[in-house]
Amino acid sequence: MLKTKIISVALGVALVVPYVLAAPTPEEDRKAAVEYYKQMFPDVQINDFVNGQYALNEDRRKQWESLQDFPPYEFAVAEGQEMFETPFANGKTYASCFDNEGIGVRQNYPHFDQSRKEVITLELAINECREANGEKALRYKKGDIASISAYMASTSNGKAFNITIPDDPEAQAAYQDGKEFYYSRRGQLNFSCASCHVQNPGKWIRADFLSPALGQPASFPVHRSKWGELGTLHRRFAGCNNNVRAKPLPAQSEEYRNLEYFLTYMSNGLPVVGPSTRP
Amino acid sequence: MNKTLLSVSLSLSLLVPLCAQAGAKEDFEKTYSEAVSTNENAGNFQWTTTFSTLKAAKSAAESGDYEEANAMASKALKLAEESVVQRKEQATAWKSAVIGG
Repeated sequence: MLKTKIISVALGVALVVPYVLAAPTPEEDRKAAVEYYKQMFPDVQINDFVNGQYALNEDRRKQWESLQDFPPYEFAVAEGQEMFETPFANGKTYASCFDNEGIGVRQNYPHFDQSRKEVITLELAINECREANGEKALRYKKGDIASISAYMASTSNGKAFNITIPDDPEAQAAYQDGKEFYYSRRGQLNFSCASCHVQNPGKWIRADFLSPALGQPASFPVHRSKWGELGTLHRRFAGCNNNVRAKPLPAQSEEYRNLEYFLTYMSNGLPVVGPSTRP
Repeated sequence: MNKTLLSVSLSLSLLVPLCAQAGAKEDFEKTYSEAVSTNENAGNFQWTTTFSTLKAAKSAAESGDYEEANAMASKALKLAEESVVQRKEQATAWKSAVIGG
């Protein structure tokens, strides 16, 4: 009996260990991605990847630079600051919910909450702050949530992303889940996020110039000309999924939060530049 | 006798399209139901086109056009089946696209 048990356990370990050893760590993934994009775009400075297509296309960059004198998101950031600083009905403010009173913390999001065993994004944290203080949650893709997130991002301008993935099976699983989502083809058009942003950055798809995955979350929330307003990262996730005829998932769903976790970890070390503008 | 025969014939001739209609409706409900459950089986790999085709099928059925409704329901079922195939394939296929993989 004991002999049978020992053999079973040994067999189980023998099957699992090679897989665990074979799967790259998040840091190995990140280094491989940085090297991949450096080779693909040798003339782009590493920190410039956060500017997406503007790092790759000179014409687009000139248009973007001329916009920076009066960025279209300015008013939204000012409104976001006002909302951030205005007390809730109970007298508290957003500052009470965040480290450092919410100033200069964008680069730490998303993070994995080990007690709740889930990824917490900045927008989720903003709404949880509201609800903890008796306020209604905001809608997640645009409007006030984007303005508040944009203000908070602006206070972290230039700070390096510092996403951590604890040595915790659930955190590792959330990262892997996001990675799997990123690379899985979906929708009737059978595209993955990687189809455009890993395999074809620097190319045109219809009227869109494709940006590399490296640095993408750094510029959010973004003012897209197409939207005519600020929008959050999960709004963009939903839009991209819809473009390939995949049914978008709800903003701040577990899948999208895990996707953001993976994608932002890939940009570790790169500077926060949000909010920003995009076509 | 002739009047009786005529009445019976008329009644039968009215019933036939009604029976056909009932058959088309049952076919639609069966196919539509199968398309909906197959679409659910696609999980996070559902397609927007499956939903829009299901909606078109339902709309046609509600207006009584069961020929169109059945055609749309069958199309939705096919789309749903393809999305399920995609989900199953991508369970492992995604790894081949990973940088450094």
